[in-house]
Amino acid sequence: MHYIFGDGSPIHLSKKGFNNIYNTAIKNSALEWNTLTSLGNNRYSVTANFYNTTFDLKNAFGRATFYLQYNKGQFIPTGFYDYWDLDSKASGIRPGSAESTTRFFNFILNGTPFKITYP
Amino acid sequence: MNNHKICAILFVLTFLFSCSNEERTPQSITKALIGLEIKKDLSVIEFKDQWGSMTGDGMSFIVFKLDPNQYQDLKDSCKAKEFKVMPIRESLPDSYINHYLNPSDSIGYYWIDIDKKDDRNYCIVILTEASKRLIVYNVIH
Repeated sequence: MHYIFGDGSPIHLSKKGFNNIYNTAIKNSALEWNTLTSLGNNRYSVTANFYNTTFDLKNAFGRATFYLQYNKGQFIPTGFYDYWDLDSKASGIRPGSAESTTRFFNFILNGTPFKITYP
Repeated sequence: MNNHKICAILFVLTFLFSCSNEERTPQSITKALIGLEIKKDLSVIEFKDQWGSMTGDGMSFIVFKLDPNQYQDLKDSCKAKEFKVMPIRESLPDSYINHYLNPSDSIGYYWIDIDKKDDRNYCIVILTEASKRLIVYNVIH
């Protein structure tokens, strides 16, 4: 709904919402640890691929980014980022069905992209 | 709902149905991404093509193994497409591709395009001389 009626302003997740999404990502092995990238000062970013999770998360986020702090041998989730848009791409980059779906919803919803962040 | 929207919906549904059996190969993806013609006899040692959400997020990842002649042909094609000379100078949005590069892969050619609207989205194609591989990675968040 934020895409349809919003003005492009970001959505800030609550701590509870953030924890729920992170826990779901962990439970479904959605974190792609081979994308782990150092940002310095023991901070890291990692891609969460919600492709194999719930229908809601798959379509709400697709692929999103978590920020982690490495401390005492473990990663602590500290942040989240996603950019929600329905951008079309040239033919062949996505499979035809995926490209058609994205263009279809872009046409029907005709909204404004926005960021989803935590904190 | 007006007639235009009904027609558009029918058109898209028809298109979706017609696309359900499309053949999507490492060669066709590489050609779509950067226009490189890849012969069918090149061996593919890794291929992932994962898309599915309505937002269009997903990724394609391909590793071709080349023999010396195939490498030379592709090297000429890459040069013609103005690939840059390795090592990679840009800061990559994620470290995914690094897991597929050996220390000896510092010689070769690469092409990179990072999305200006969302710099987590990028496409990189790497032709490595030592390990004779063509690595293609495209990711959209």
